[in-house]
Amino acid sequence: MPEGDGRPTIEILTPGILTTVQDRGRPGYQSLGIAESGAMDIFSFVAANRLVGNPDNSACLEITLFGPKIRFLAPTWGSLTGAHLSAHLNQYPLNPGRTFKAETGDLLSFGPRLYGMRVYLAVAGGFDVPVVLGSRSTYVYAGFGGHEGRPLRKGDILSAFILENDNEPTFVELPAEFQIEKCDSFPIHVIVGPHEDRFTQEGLQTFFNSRYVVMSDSNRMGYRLKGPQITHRDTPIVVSEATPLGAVQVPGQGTPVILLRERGTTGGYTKIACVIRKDLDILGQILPGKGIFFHPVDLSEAHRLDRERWEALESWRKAR
Amino acid sequence: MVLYDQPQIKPNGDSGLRIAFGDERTIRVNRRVRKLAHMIQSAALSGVTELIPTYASLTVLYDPLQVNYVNLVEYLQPFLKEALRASAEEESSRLLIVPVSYEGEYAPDMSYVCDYTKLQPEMVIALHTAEPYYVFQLGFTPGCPFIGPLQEVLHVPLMETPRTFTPMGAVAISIGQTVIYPKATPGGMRIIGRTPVKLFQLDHPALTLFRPGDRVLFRAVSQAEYLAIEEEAVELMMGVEVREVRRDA
Repeated sequence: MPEGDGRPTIEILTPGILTTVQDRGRPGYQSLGIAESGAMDIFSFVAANRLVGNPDNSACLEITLFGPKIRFLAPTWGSLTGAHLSAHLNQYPLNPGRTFKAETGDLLSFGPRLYGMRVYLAVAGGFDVPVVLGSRSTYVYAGFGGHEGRPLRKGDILSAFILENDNEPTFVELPAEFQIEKCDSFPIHVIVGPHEDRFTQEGLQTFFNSRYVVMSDSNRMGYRLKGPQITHRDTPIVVSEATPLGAVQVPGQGTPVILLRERGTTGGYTKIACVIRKDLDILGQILPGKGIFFHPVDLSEAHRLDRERWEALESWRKAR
Repeated sequence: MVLYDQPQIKPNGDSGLRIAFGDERTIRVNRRVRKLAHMIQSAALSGVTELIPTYASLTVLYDPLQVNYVNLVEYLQPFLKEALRASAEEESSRLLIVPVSYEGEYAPDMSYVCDYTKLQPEMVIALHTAEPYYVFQLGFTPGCPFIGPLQEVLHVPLMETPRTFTPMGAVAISIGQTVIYPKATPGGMRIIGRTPVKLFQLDHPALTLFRPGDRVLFRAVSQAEYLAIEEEAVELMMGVEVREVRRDA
């Protein structure tokens, strides 16, 4: 279906704290300084699309912590995955990981947070916003992509494509194993380096044996962490180089910063490690104030962990 | 300043590998990085998803479902050998002549820089416009060029507390490099001027004014000329003179 031909499907009555259009992101432009942006929890994002029968990369809303109030302008199937923010369709509670059917005029609202940080709202067909450099993701920091390059505001109307397949969605529920966990401290697996030799032995031990707390100024650019200081052998400065998604930088003051989807694409501070892809999705659901423990894994273990969850999601789809 | 005999290869996350040719901001090492990036790009290796060339290292992103780390390192071996033969001199490039006003409100840190370097403003400007610099990498924010090598006398420390607002087009210096901020952002480098030309434009086929490997010569303009260019340079590449520079080996 051509871009711009979608049908007006939702209206934002109140925007919530940060609600943006996201897909899997915008790879291929880091060499120009353009970060990939995209959903902070890719697994929940894909699961939301699969629940309503969408292609995996269809644009969803990423809803952060305090949710919006949304009116449906057309009948549609929808789904919510990720965090539990006490969503309701009119007066009926909607649990995460479920499809729902909305009629014209229905109201979707959110309430107190029970667990997690970010909700993905998919509607059948996916949101119809322009593709910019290959993606519909909002790059808030650079001001492009998504809906007019910015977080959603009161009065915004978003269209959705009409789903063109025979698999009319039905009421389905995502198995518990694919839903996010409720806890206070999260193990986060990392690949060590590339600057591990720039830290003292003691510094590396501190990094792997301490609880780090996510600070309140954390966002889609990065998470700042509070915790024991990691000591460098010498200077924390390196010649500026690529900072891949999940890179854990340790600047001079010795506390780590995890660089995320809207980060600067290069950086001049030592990188002690990099979060594996599977655990980036867990990070996307961690609220400021919660704790992190870093665990080193090797590449084959990281790849196995990533592959297994996607294979499991695929076999669930085939089974139903 | 270190140039490695053999490139160092390491993981950079679970879907990236980093090939470092040295630990210095020099053209000789950056040429190796860029030559390697060009060769990998042309070879279109299966599983390679993105290349990020920087000052002294190349990060290769890959899809672990398509290629594993060990095999990828093996595929790269012949390119690594070839990249080591890159020389700093043999390359043709573009020369971009970029107008900069070093006056008044456009140069809020000029007095700091003069105090720190013990140079008169005229001397700072003369040095900054003296000869073409080289674009080592784009990074940090969309279209932001890292330019150098900066003359040692102009090396100034970063601000203790970065500014919360650095205006679009600000031309700044720090240790070893000069940058231009493509959009208003927080920033900690010392601002000595401002350019009226665009550095990034989403709906322009080039996307960014600069490409790694470009030469760039800054041209000092008055505030009046700055304003005139600003009015005209509504599109990327406008207000900038571009020459092709041939360099024979």
